[in-house]
Amino acid sequence: MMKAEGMRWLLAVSVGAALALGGCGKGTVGGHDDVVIVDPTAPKPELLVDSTRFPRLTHKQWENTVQDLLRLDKPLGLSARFTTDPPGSTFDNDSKVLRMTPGLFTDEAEACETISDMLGTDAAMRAKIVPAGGPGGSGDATAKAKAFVESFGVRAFRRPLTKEESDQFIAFFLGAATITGDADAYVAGVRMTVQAMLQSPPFVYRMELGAIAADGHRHLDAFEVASKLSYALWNTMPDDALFAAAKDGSLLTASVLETHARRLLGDPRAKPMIDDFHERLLSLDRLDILGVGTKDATAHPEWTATTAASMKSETLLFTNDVVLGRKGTLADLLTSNETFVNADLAAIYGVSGVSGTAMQKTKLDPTQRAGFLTHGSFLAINGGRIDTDPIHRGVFTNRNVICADLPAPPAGMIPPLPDNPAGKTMRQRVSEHTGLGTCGAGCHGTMINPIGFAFETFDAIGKWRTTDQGIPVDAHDSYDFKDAPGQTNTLGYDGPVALARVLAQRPQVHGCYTGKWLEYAYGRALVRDDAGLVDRIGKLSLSGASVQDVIVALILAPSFSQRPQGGS
Amino acid sequence: MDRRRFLFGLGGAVVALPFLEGLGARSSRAGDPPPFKFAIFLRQANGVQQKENAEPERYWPSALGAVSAASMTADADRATSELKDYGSRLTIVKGVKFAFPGNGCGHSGGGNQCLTAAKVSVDPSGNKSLSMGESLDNRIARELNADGAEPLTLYAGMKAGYINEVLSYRGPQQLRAAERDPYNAYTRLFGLTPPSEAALAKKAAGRKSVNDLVRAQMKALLARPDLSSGDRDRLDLHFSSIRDLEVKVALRLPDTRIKEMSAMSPKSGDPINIEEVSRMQCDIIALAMAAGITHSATLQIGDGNDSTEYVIGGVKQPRYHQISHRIYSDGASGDPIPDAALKHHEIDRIHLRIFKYLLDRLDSYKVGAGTLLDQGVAVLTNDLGTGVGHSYNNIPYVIAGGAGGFLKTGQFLDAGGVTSNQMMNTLGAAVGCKNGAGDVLDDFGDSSLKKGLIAAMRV
Repeated sequence: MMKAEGMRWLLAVSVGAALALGGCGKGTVGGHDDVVIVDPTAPKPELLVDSTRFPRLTHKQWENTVQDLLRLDKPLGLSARFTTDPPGSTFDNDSKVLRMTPGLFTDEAEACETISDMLGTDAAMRAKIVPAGGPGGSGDATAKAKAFVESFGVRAFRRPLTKEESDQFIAFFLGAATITGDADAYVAGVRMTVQAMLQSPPFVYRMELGAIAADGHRHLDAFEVASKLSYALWNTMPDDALFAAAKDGSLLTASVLETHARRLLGDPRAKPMIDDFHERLLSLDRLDILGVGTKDATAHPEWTATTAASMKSETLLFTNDVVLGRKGTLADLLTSNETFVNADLAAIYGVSGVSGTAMQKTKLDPTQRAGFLTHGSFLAINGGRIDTDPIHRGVFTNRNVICADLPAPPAGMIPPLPDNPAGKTMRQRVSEHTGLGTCGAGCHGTMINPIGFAFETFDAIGKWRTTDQGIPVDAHDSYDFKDAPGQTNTLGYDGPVALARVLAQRPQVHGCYTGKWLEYAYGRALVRDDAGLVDRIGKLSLSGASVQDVIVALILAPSFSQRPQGGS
Repeated sequence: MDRRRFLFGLGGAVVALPFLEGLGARSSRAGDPPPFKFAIFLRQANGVQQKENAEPERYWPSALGAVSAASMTADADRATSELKDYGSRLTIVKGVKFAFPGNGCGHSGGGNQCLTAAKVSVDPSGNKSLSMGESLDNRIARELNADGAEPLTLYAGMKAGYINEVLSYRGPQQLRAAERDPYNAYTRLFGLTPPSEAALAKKAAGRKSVNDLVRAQMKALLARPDLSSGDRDRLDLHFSSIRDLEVKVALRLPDTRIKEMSAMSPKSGDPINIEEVSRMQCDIIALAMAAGITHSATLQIGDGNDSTEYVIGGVKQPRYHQISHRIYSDGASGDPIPDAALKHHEIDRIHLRIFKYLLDRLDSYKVGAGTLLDQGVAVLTNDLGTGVGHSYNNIPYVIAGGAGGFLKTGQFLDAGGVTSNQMMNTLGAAVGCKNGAGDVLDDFGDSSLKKGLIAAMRV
């Protein structure tokens, strides 16, 4: 799998693409052993992919799960003190890096002890989790212990306990008072059992053990599918309806799985997930450090202390509205001019009649604005203090929207642009420095600049402009899209709206976005063997499937609930 | 018998020693344990303002050879003069380079090699690249710490998301997360109010009973015949992470300092607090060494390409990364920042003053005839040589303390362009690490590199 994991950038361009490894420049297609070649006329078979079967809950998932498990109105906030995880893929749920370490073990142990102490003193809190009858229920102490262990256990482990586990925890429950010294043995049993279950591997990990089926593949069981679905779309444990569908096994049928996937997407709990996905995909957290002094006050008097936050809010409201509200498509995300503005943004977008901090739904000038790449968020993040930054706008779009195989820049010194000579536009300066005929031609001249220059109609904070240094802005260019093996499709455009429309029709772009959703929903990095799946669903997206349909298709794919033969 | 056990041996109960109280009276008795050696690494980002192209030298002492309080006082225009009070206890080394090229991002590639002397990953690449080997702090902890205790891995400043942690690696591509909240770090190591013995015993018994149950569950999982080697490693790490309650160590910071840390906790990631958070982390590191909790610690100051807006002379400056590029941009194009080289120099001084704060803390613990500082090494280093060129040559190593007489202090030397593994060997050997044959550590880092220590650093 190591080799496959090493190919994730190439994979991300898998739809209709054939690229030379590490290649920039026109005509560098095909002919390398390590390339992903997807022939649209003969779809690549969809392969199953292996990854760790012990993905640890993220801190956010731990927090949400504890809240739901204890049926609390709000999170306890105990995970805020957990030692952080190292960075992984674009998203925070990359199972490869989510491991249990000594520091985290102790942090979680202390959080569980805090919960145990709370349960020991708070009868109302206990009442939410003890089964009907509770300590006053029928039977002897062992029967009462069994009732608690099994009712709480099935939700804590997100599956029924095995007989061995049940016996183990019943004995633990009954012996708890001798350890805690609690006067009430039932209370001691409840709180110590909760403390122990929250530290047990079936709670800590969203395990994918499954079983080998007749087809030779490892199939997740219904409870594992329920958890995978719930954590993918809600970032928390399954709800009662999902548990019921796991218990009766119906969740293993495609139609029931689809019904639940759509139910979860239609629930308000899907909103934070859509926010989280796009915030990370578009690096919107970088707005958090764009304070008032980060844009030049003379050149950009519209930039206030709250502009960056307004921009982040706009793009999140927009992506939520398109995906959940309008049940829209990737093409809508790339081309819709209907967005949300407040006074901060109205000043930049040239919208009249908007005041205050509240965001209002508005249609922007369709000749200037189309989709999130024309939002202030993307343009200001990838904009300088005074001047535009076509290089970073181009790099970001290549990497995160097209998923082009753009290699990292050369090591060592990056020569800065020469001082700004009067009478030269940013496009002219960047072209002379990095364009065709320079040593930067390979990547900058053919991939980065042609995208970045299309945004030259926006200044460093995303305000529309028609001139640069008194010279009319030139925002036309062309880009070599890799639509099929050995086939480069060079498409021209003039300005950002035309570019957005071109992007919205490219297989490469739909494959890119689909691949990101695969990473998010599956909780792992994209690998080479995902090519066939990404190719198929990317084409669905290209032909008009909504973002929700793309997500559901990923969940219904065999790769979601199966692992390759034998597996790991 | 290490110091922690020694202190516990005093009576078994938690004894709160006031901050700065000397340990010397007890530690100097016959039959005491050997000196507790340690290594602390502070890391600055973005290189230093040393001579490069037209920019003058403002970092290193003016002459190779002996350094002293007097010589460093005379070198007032050099950033390292901030440490003049420690002149005779310093070993300042230039002429050390990273052995391997980065893979698309100079900062990330430098961070990958900073304490590992290992190669930079092919994939992931760019700002996501990872080291292909373990870091020296990990090696020291693995070899010298009792009970498998982890190295202390701390951070100051924001995590901006481009490159966050860079320093500490459990092994190839296994980057360790760093704690940026001093209050979290402190309470994790030392606890808050020491509970009564009875309460502590009850808590420890509860923890142990849960842990025993978890151990049994982990053993059952590990017994599965169908685990991949990767998943077995993952579960092994979990199993070895299970810790019964450790009685918190018998040293404390003063209550006023703990209160300050508590107040700082919610804003510890705000870059405006980076210097104070760094000092708090230094307090914790020094106390951890005094208590013998771990033989190694790291403090990463700032994110991978530190974009903190440092304050110089009361004025908030442009982002440090941009200053290191000398332009208002994180890339290649941007307007020039006036006096950027001088600003970089002033930021170098800020880091040296933080380092001096650490040395002051270490020096305040009296041990025998000397201080804690003399027993170990504290190192201020960088993951680049210079900012503009992203150079991997002349990486700064400002080392204080002689590791109990292992290092020759009071000197500034040029190692002659050796690769950084030899520096890592020297520092690892200084605190007691051995190679596979039981001799002093001489083969740390990538196996293709020339083995050995930097002889001129030794007494």
